Amino acid sequence: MMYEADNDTRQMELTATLNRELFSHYVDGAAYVNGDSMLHTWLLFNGRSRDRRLDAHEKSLDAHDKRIKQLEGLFLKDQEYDSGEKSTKKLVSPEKSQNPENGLLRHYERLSAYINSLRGRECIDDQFQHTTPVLLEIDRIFALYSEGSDRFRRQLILKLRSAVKLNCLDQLFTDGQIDLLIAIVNRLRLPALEKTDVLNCLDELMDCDLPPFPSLEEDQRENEAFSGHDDTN
Amino acid sequence: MKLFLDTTIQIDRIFGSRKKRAAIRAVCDGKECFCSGYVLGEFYATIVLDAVSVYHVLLTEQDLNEAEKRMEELSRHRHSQRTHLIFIRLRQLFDNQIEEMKCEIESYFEDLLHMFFRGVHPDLQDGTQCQRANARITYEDESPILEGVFCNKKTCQCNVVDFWKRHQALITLPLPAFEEKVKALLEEIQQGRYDVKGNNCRTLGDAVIVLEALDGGGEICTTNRKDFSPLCELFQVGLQSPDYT
Repeated sequence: MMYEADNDTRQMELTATLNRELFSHYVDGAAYVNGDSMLHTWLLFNGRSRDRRLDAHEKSLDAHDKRIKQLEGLFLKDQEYDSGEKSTKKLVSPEKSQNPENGLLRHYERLSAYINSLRGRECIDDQFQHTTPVLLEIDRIFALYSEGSDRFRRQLILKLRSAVKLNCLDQLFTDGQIDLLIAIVNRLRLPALEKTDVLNCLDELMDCDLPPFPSLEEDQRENEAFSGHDDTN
Repeated sequence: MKLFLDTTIQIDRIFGSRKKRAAIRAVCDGKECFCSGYVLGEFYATIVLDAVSVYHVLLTEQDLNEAEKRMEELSRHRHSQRTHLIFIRLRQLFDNQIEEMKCEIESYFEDLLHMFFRGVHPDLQDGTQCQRANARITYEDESPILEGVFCNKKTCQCNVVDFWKRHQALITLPLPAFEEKVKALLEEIQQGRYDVKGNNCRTLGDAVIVLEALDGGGEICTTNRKDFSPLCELFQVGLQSPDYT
């Protein structure tokens, strides 16, 4: 161990010395080489540009990895619910889950319970904390539906999510609003769901003062965007 | 009492802040709200086209930062920040999850139309027979195309020339203080020249809307009091604006 540590220190010192000899000064973060080696300078710049591109690519890969891990977590949770045991490290797809229907129902039941827990909250901060499990559960349910066959169900799930997220910091949810949110969850559980169902729910959300559309005017740009209509085409 | 909702109100009652929506409700409550095919055409050409544009950017750009740059370019091209704002709000709302953003914006195509007719008499005023009101979204290889929303003098088959012929007598000189382009066009119409299609039609858009409100026997409801005031004064139409203060 001692030998390794000494060796590392020695290696670092050597690298530092070599760097001091090679690079005389830095301009805008780029190192310029001692002497007149233009080629070396160009290679450094080119390398930096390539490194930046690689960094961006790696960041994008990291984002994908993160998303995959989120989904893995979701599947493992499903497995936990189905087996009633702590999950193992093994990834289980929803198709292979012991009872995917039951898993989905449990997600819906949990969602209804989380929404119900918003009832009677006395301050926005308290409500806000109890809204997060609702949003996370909605995200889990959304991930379980496919784009092709469950288009309208996905649309309604997102309406529900928007209604909760956009309004949870504006007002304390009333009993009537919570009843409506639970009614929408129940509608999501029905086997057949059409666009008219989505539009009916949209009407009910608007009637209940839970609009699912984001406001486009909360910053400086609102005046540009809404000082009269523009009709460019 | 009847109230004609213009395009600004139609957009604000969907995407306005809570305060603005409440102000609009206060003005509209208890009144019979109506609208027109011309306003529907403007609605398609503004907010629906914005939604379609955002969807296209999300379809073509897999990286949200690249998508953001594309949205900025698009906003510059269209001289409107609204497209960009829709994109930003969706990013915030769905925590940068591109799949959710796409699903939501795709649902807007029908949702917005549904919202347009919400609380509004289903029979629209149609004196101009505006072609843009018949705009439709079709799909080409899964990408939405908003067809019929662009019109010009050559291709436009609407009835706007007849519309202005019918209303020519209402234009009395001297005209109140208008924007120069509007004033010049109204003076031409008053003298019996009807070059009112394409871009000129859009320049006269507010005037058309005020006259449609007049034809429907109602007052106009708009957030754009500045541009509508002289027109309402000219055509003797009542003007109501929600109180956003």
